[in-house]
Amino acid sequence: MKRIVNIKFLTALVVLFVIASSCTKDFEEMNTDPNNPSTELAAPEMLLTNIIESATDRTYEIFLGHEMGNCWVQHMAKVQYTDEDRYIYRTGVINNAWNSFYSASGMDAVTLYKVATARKHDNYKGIALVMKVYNTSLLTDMFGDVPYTEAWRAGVDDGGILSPVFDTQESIYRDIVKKLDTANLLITEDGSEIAGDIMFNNDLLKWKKFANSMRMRLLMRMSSKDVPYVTAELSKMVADPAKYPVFESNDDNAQLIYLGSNPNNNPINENRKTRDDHRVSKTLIDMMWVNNPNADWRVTVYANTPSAGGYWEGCPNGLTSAKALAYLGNGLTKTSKLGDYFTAATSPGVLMSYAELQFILAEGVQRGLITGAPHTAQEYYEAGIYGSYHQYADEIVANVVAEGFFDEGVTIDEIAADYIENGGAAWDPDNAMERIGTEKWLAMFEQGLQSLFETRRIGYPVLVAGEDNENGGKVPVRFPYPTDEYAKNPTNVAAAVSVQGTDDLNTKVWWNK
Amino acid sequence: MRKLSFLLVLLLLTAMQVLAQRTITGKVTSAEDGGGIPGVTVLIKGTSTGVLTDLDGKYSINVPESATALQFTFVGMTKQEVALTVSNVVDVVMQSEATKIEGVVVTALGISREKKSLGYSVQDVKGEELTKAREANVVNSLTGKVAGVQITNSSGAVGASSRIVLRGVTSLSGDNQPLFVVDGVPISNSNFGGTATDGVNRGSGVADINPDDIESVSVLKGPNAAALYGSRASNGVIIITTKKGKMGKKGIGVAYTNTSTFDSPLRLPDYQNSYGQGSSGKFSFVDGANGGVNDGVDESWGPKLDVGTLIPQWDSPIVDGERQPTPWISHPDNVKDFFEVGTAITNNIAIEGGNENANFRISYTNFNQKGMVPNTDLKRNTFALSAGGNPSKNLSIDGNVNYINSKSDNMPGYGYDAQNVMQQFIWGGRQLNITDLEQYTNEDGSKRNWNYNYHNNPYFTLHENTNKMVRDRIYGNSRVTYKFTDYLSARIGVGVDNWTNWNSARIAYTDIDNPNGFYREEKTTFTETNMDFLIMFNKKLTEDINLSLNAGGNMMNQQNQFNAVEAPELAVPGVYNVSNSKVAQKAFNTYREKAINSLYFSGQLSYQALYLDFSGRNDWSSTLPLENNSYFYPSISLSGVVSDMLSSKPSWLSLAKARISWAKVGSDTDPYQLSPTLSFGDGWNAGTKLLNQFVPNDLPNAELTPQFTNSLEIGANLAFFENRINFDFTWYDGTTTDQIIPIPISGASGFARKFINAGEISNKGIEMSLGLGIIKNPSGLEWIMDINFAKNTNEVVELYEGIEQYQLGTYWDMQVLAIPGQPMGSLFGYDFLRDDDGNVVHRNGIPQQGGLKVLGNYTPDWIGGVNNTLRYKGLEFSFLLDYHKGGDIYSMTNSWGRYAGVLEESLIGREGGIVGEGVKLAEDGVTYVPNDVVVTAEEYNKAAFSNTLQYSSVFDATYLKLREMKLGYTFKQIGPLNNLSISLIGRNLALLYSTVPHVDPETSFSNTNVQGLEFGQLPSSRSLGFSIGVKF
Repeated sequence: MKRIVNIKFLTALVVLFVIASSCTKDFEEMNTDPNNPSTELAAPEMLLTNIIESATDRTYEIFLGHEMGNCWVQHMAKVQYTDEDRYIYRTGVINNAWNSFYSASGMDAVTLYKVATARKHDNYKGIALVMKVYNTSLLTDMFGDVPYTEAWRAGVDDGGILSPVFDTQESIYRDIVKKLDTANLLITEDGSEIAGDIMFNNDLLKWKKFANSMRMRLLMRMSSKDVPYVTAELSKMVADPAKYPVFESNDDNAQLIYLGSNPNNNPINENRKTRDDHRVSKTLIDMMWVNNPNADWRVTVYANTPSAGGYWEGCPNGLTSAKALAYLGNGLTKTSKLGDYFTAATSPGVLMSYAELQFILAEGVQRGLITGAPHTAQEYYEAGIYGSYHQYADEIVANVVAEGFFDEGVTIDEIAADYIENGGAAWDPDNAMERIGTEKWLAMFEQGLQSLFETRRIGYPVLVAGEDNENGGKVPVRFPYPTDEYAKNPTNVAAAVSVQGTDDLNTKVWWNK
Repeated sequence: MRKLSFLLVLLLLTAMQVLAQRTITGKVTSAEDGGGIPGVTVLIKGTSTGVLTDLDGKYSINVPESATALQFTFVGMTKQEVALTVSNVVDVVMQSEATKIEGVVVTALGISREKKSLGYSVQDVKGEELTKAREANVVNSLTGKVAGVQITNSSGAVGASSRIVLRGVTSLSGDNQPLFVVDGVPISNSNFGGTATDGVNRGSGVADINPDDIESVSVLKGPNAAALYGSRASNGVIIITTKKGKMGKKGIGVAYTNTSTFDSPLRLPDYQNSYGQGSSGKFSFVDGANGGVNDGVDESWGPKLDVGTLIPQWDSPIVDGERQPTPWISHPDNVKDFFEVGTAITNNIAIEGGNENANFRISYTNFNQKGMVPNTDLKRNTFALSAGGNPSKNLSIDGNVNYINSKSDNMPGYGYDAQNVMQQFIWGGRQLNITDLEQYTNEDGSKRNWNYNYHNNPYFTLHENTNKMVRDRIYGNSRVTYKFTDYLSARIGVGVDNWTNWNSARIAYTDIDNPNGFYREEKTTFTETNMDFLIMFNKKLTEDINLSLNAGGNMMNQQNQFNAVEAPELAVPGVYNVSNSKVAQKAFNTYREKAINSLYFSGQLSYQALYLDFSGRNDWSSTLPLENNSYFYPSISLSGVVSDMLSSKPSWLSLAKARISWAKVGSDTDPYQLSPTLSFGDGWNAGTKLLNQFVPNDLPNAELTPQFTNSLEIGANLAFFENRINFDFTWYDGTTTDQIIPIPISGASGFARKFINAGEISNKGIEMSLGLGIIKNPSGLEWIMDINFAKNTNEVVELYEGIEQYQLGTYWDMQVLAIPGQPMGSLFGYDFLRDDDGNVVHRNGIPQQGGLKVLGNYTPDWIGGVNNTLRYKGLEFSFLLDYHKGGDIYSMTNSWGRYAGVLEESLIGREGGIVGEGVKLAEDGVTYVPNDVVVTAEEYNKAAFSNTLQYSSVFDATYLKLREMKLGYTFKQIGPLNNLSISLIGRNLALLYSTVPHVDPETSFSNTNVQGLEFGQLPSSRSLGFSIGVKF
């Protein structure tokens, strides 16, 4: 009896021993992630959905787009916790902006390009290029010199580069305008269909238009640096609209129309559910209403009337929190909140509008950068204003009638004409760039980052830093490099600073120098 | 065959001795309870002949006439030698070893060892020490009692987690928590709920272990002691041995204890009570959302209080649609009154018994806690059963099973958001009568609150936005041991730890952040199984040489399943079911599995009082690439009991021991870190749901290799004057290399992190403990003082080429970093702008923001504790002091409390304004002159204290706490009752020293590496109560 127990016991031990030492065969299968698809199973349409959503969300992210973009360009002002409006930025916000344009929407666009190349799908390839350029241009326009040729290459198959070198803004610009040219050629309506496009509803012609319109925006930004090249490229494109289709109306706007509920709602809508920290800037309201010879009727959409009553009133930029709260006796009730149109859940996130393109064309003709254009600078300029009014046509008409400024039945064109005629917006050939810059600034309301780039490039309208600013009285012209990059890529960021200049809010980027 | 020859030899020897001998019989009993002690070795002095006592403690031994004395030895008892006389009966009463130093401890693989034979440092705590002042979480009970153990209790919320770190943080990633082993089986200590700037702290695994069922806790601090436990032991091991019934002790014993404690906040901020809500001295309530004068502002820069002013307020009566002005008066205790007296009642009953061949113990514990925060609770029922027996002479089986059911109807929100009621007490209006908010809806069902801009009514949050929890857990093990011969045995065993944790989070309609409500359910199921075998050989080779060898193997498998469903907005208010969703429901699930197979050996060779220990273990982990998944690591240690080697030991020296040991421990990583995947996003559009995919931020690595920790330890134990003075000293030097960490890489690379083998962290330090029997009077008066001290020097030696910081966590602009050359946990944030002499630069009277720099570090310089016990007959009084020297803390309560003008210091300059101390730019625009610009207190505080200026809210976290106090009396015998004891107890009684204003410096979010941050966690609690225990 005892013997039997012994043998059984020993056998059990031996079996366990064998199992313990040899049973690692299923380890590889066990360690294969069952929760997520491998890279081989990438779905281009799902990547595309994410690229558009992620890039737009980031552009409109409240701290970046609203508080640095819109406040710095003085469309908006902060009335509580006014740090950002005084140019005291949050390092976390800068880190997030950098990391997400690179490693979220940027990396997804790069991955889409790879997937599309492997599957020989030119339309996805072209669209991937458009979105990669959108991300790249935002990054370089914010920071100046940034990683590009070595960016997005951490994967072992892509070179395993963990600390990419920085490229000069000039070299980046020269490449991204070429990439958009390539994208325009790749995207063809008779090519393979796409899906997952939440911006243009899979309309390939609109992607072509976006590629070309954005290309004009970028060419114009580099226009002070290489007049012959920019002139040749812009003129070539304007001369051949069949080959280079561009936005023809607000229907073509590159914009993501958000949906009614979280997480697909507009980031500003989400912010306004719990916060009341912002008011429309005094700079903007003064120009549109308080100091306007008549009125820029878009004010009825851009801003709400103050809760304490009366017409629109802006809040000065760059006050301390205490001063802003005490402004006019009560900054919160005496100043205008952002208009309901912009705080709605479904308010669009605009990446580029028809109106902006018209002002680019106006500037191109005015400065002689576009030869052989079908229209004059003034015509493009006015088309920009009309385009902007049409962007908010229903809301403007409803509001001006409700407020009793116009009679029922008035058309948006009549209202826009009234503005050009009486609101101080008439074309002035002697001060053409001031007119173009100012109207572009007004038209690009709530497109904080792009408006900030354009305003500092054109120099109009002239913005004055708020009284309690902490940037030596200067309006920022650049974003400082992220603290993250100093920690993770110190050698290359130091090299970039030595080339570009002091890493602060005031060093101008290449195209602005 | 060998066995046969051995038996023959034994027989022969016995036969020879029969020639001239007599038989001595007797009984060995315990001095403690008079019961017989089975298994005592009875040895004829000067020979290797001996017998063991039987289950009743009786023995019978044949001794030659030449024998002079018998030696009685038993682990944990003082060795006795009795000279032989003419009598053939020798009864012996054995004493428990007086001090812990010579005691027996449970070491790796569940092997009991005499402490003095160990080559590394082990400190143990007896079960009664843990239940002395009754903490719900057993981890907290170790505070101050063991040198080198740093415990951070996160908050006073019910079920909140505690972080325990042994000998400093070794790894950049993970939580650096030690491995918990209960009766030989590892127990999961995972977090049950996310804790960060949002979420609920649902505690972590070990909180489920019932202190009443614990016999003893051994703390194996360094890897040296723990090497045999493998990968998870690199942060040390805490071995918990549960109570068992005693075999051979006939009859049934019943023990009952009741402990009731009452909790209140240890520390609340010192508020100002002179100014009420508002800004610039103005306030008037219309709608609480900026419709009136500063009525949406949740700050206290408003009009002066208690000067007879009448102002319309949130609770003022409305007459004809007009809110009537009411007296503007202070409510100094408004926050204090919000808290209730928390109660925690524990009832434990245990029945144990046994006979010659079997034993059992059954215990039931009911723990019922009501939080200090209204409407929060935690209930826990624990059933524990352990049993063992010897079905045949050589076969023994034992096992235990524990079932724990924990439940809460509401655990409070914890992060810095509207779901944590503390947030509005960091802000707020000082005139508020907070308890008046108890009724949180108006008669028409609408919200009733003081602010409609930022905050929920706190009672609404606690009654409507509830976080429920139900957790079922079963763990246990069973073992079969077979004894082939006296010196060879083997055992096989299996252990299982299985828990299912179900949480729900309700957010009601009209919530400030989620006006349409919200509902989420989460369920996590975790199972770990361990199957092991061990072959044990233990033989005295000669009189002086003993050899023991163990060899075994283990198969570990861990499965973790997580499911969550969510209704982002509710369609019908008040119905908390995921089907009731206004928008598309969300669902998530993940499954994770890993396995480790191991083979190991350990052994000890002793020669007289010299002990050489060695071990080796090879692991195969499923989480590493096939070619790198096997790794071996050894340990070796040597110890010598110098006092036993001395030819003549001086009478004042009780023990002198020296030890040295070296160990290496390898470890693996989490599953699925090797090959790249895509992730799914939230999707676009509820109706036509477009799925989105994205490239995750972590770049996997197919070339990972195991990480290793090396440690060298040298120590000494000294005891003097019959163990009246005990001194233990340890020096250690440990280094962790090749850590598997997600190293941060430039975002421009397309990823944020890459898994890589990199980084080196070193921990060097000393640990000392001193036990003093200051008074030991024959009358029974006794005063024992235990002092422990530990200084750990932690250094992040290197990260990875080109990487200068490793971010452990970031909250707003406050970053917690690992920086080479500094200890773990640098607090990195904004300083003021300063001139060359370090003066703060002001512009228009406002201090300016400067650059980012290291403002502090959360690692303490040293920690220590002093425990005093005074006994006189049945009376016992004890108290424990706990000291943390150094380390820093960032306090959000200080930052926003100053910004919002609610704290006492914000009174400075309210009337006359403030001239900030420092300089301003002179008119030449180059040089600095003293600042002389007066600004309002509101402007000054808002500039100097905010989330973009951390310098002003970083404090030295040094503290001295009166951690425990107990006054008790034990009645020896009252009728049938044994050991009736009654005691008054207190925990976390007083913060005796701290320079941190307003908050308890001991606080944290969770048990991760992100420490040193105070973000409005619920205050820690001071508990007072009583305990009654009785045995039948």
